[in-house]
Amino acid sequence: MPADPQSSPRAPVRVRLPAHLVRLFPDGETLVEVVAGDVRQLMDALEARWPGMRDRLCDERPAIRRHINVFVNGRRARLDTPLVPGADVFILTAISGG
Amino acid sequence: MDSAMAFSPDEIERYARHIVLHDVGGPGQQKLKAATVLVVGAGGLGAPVLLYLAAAGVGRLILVEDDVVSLSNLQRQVIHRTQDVGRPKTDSAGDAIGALNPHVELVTHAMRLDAGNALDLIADADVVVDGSDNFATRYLVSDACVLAKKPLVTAALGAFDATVTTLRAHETAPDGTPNPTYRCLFPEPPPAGTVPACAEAGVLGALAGIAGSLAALEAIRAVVGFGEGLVGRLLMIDARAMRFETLSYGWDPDNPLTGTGDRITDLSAHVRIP
Repeated sequence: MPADPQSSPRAPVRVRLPAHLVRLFPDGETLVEVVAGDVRQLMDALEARWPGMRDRLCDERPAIRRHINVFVNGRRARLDTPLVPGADVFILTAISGG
Repeated sequence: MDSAMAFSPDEIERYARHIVLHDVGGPGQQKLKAATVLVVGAGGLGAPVLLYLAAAGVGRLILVEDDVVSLSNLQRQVIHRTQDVGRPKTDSAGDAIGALNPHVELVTHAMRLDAGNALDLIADADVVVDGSDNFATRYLVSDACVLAKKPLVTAALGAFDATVTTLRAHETAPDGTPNPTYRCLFPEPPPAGTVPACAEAGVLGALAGIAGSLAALEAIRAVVGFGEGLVGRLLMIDARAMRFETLSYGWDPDNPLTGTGDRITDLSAHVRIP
């Protein structure tokens, strides 16, 4: 039986990534599961999987880049925003095509 | 009932499938007939928006579009025909709308919506639908709709992805919290070159039909009033994985339009230096 994500400390969070971003990386995927306790660890995990991705999402301050929007369970997040197991994370940028 | 809004027998038959809907009915159809909707762009999104709003019996459509039809438009911009290549899109769209529903009044502006004309164009509209193809217009339209206190349905395309949301930033949620603005979701556009435009990245034609139809549905909802729309929710469509997801988002007190700090009070920041 699968573990209850709310009760397992190792349960991953679900992360959606912008399609135009993941296309820049080999085997990039728009929906990934990552084990991370906060957004900073999430960025570390993405960097480990796709070297160079963190620089696309974060600047040198370090902080999330201003045009990158990270929402955790419907709320805008920062690098220090905690992630509970099973959290829904959206990383998105505006698109403009019409 | 205003006699000017009375339906002819032809209109009653034409709109019969709306009129029998419990949540639309005769009163809802009357609201559509009395409504004015401004559509920005007659491209991939604007095409289905215009066709569905005309078919639905929106009484007055205002179209702002400065482009002409090109052959590469026709893979997705289904309001235009092969023989329209080279014609202004306002003319081509006007012919299609007239042929579809002669009860619709179409007002066309063959110009680009800009900081100087945006508020005047929006002033006459009950609802605005943004199907434009660039960030500058999107931020201009969304700022202008907040200033003018108008509902805005905004849809966007990128390759296999599309987004749709509805903004009623001049209103509050039932708990008294202000509804979010577009800038609560996307405070800033991406730097030039980081998100490719459709011309470079391509766009799946039928996806424009999905997102445009959803935008038309949201505009009809805004006029008629039924169910739960996309205020405070961004619908994201991934056509590659055929996944539809919604992100709930709220009012950001740091947003520059309705936030607690300095506010944008006019469109001067959008004026382009020639």
